[in-house]
Amino acid sequence: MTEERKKPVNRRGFLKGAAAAGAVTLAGAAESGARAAPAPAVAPPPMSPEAESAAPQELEVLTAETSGSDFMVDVLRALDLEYVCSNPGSSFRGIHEALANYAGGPGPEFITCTHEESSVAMAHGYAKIEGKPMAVMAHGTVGLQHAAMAVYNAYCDRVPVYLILGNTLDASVRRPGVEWVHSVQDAAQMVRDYIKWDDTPVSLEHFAESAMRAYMVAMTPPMGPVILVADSELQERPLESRDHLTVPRLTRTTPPQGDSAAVEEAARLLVTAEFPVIVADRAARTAAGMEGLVELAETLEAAVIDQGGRMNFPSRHPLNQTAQARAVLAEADVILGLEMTDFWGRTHAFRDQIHRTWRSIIRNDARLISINSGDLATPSNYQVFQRYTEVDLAMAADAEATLPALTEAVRRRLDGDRQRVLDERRDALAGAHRDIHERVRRDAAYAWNASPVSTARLSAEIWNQVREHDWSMVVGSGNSLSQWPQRLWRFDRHYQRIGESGGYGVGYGAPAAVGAALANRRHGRLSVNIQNDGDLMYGPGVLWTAARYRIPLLTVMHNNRAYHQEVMHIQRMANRFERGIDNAGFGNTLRDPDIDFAKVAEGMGVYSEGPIDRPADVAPALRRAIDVVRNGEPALLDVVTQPR
Amino acid sequence: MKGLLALPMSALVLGTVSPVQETAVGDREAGRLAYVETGCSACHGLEGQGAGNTGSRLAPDPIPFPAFSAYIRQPTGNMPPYTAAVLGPDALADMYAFLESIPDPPDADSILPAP
Ligand code: HEC
Repeated sequence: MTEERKKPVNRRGFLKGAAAAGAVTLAGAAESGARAAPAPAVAPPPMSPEAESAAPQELEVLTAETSGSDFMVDVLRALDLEYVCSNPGSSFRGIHEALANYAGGPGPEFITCTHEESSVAMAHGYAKIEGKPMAVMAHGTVGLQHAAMAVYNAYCDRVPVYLILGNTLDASVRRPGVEWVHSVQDAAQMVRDYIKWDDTPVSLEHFAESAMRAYMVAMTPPMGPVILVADSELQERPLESRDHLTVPRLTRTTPPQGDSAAVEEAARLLVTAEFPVIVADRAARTAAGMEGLVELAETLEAAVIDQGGRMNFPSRHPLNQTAQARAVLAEADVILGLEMTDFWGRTHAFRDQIHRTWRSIIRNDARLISINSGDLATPSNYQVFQRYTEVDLAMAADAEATLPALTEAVRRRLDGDRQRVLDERRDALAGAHRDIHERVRRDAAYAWNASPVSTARLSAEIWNQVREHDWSMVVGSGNSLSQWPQRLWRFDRHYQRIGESGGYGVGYGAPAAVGAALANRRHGRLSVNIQNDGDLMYGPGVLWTAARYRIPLLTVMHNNRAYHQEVMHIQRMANRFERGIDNAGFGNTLRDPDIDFAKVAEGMGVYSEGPIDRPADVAPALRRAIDVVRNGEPALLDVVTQPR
Repeated sequence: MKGLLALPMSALVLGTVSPVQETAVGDREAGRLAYVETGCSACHGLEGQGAGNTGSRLAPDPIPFPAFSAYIRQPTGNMPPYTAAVLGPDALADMYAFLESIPDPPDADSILPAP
């Protein structure tokens, strides 16, 4: 070793009094310590009466009044971030401590999560109710690795999530051991395929500007997760002066609107169509989007199919034809797709047999119009964009932002004659809607008294109880419930349904429900989650978070004791290869032992009942659980259900 | 691409198609077990009540037995085929007897809130 290398590092130069004296050996520690360990810069004062009364020695500065983290917290405050969900981690201990103790006004509230996947999925659910991101803090390495699946879900679902990652870039200051394996050259690299933007600031000013930019990017359609790396040195280094630092003002973009010529052409096609159909997927980002779609549909008197990516259209509106989507699509001469995830899939039937085949289910002469912000940011690697669709008029634009102009253009083209045609169409569609709803009610009655409980009965019982309240179904509208809530319930407010995971990554449901319920809490809404058993087992710890923060949420288990989608896939394979058709549960069931979710919830501090497998027992249990939730606490009912 | 079937239909015809029985006299209880064990309930519900796109409603009042058994052997949609090699005619008849035994549901108005 050269003399130079043996010298202790005093990078910060924070020595009080005279110049640093160089290496001073700490008695004891140095003798017993490893040879390679650098000596501390300054010896602490010996604990002796002589030393106490002697003239003060030069002292190493061990404390400071403020740090970069305090400034970072001020930056976060300027971003309108209500909460920060986090599983605590040392690489962001500076910001964590500043959130706890830096007295400069209210900061984002720290919500302790038991897994980073829960943190991000909570932010995902929250953003879909509240329309703005929540912050998530995680280690740049092990935390982000845990979080990755939830980040992918948010990306696929076009939802803003604001991730702050701790990291220690400067290798020369890293603590040996853990801090090294928790450090990375390029933290965001492992998820860069499925985030919208990231940055690794090297100064506090840089941090502040990138923090603003990250928020702006996350909130510009197509929205998505963003990452800001907060270097630990930047966080922890004392801040001597703020004179050179400013917290920039947040710039908010307006969402991209379809160009006026294309909007006019779309209006022409829609008005002259004999039977236009509107299909909406992630279209209504906000309540205004839903109102905008109702206005367009009513102006055109067009059939609407709600794909359910967002709450796009009131479920009992007479123009809502979702329950007979195939039939109306077969008749359509113009189809307007709004923020479609999979326009091809909606317009084709696909057979999953030994030879995969497909056919169009729409008219050969049908004209397709698309308004989709997804077209502005098609990724390379992950195949989220679905199969190429032959669209006649494609606007790479935000549907919600474009709807008012489109409705106006449609209105300008309508005259009395056309209006009469439209009125007839409305009456026919309203009649069909009524008939379908009657059929749905009849269908719900099949297997009404069966045990385990049918998904129709479960959905009907919950509906019976929540309909009197201001409710919000935060999770539970998917295929695993055979779409019963969509079919039976009356959804007419934007917050009553928030779509699905996006990436179909299991484990989204429970934490997204807790995050959405946290957002609903302020509005006094009764949040309802119909929770799949397999999904809850990914991260049941989020139940503790719900209990810890008194998040009112009614969770009703759809406990079919299986990864049931996979049961059906294995059945398909077994049939195809003519063997083991009675063995589809192989590796797919959650039995022996059966999971007692009431006990799991109880252990997390959540009110619970179950298992309930008799349908008549569901309603009274629901009443008790709703009382708990109305009093501001989470509750869980474990209902043992039919497969789908 | 619209209207395209990627492969000739002949490619879809696989396995043995057994002669279709005209009538069925099956054992209801054996049928219930077979219906669950061979996975029908996974897609059609434990009482054949149906499950949206996952599986259509089969009961009460199942479709006539010839159509029933023909569909199972050679489905034209997404349902996986059950050839005679894995599901014998007796089991089919039993299942049919089970589905036939399922009673009518209660009147929707008596159990569900007004629309
Ligand atoms: C993997 C899911 C799946 C399984 C397992 C399955 N089915 Fe089906 N079945 C379907 C679907 C989906 C349909 C609707 C038509 C289609 O797409 O093939 C259907 C249709 C049917 C039909 C025609 C109904 C009609 O009204 O035309 C019958 C009969 C039927 N299934 C009986 C059975 C029986 C009996 C079994 C067990 C031996 C079974 N299915 C297993 C998915 C399934």
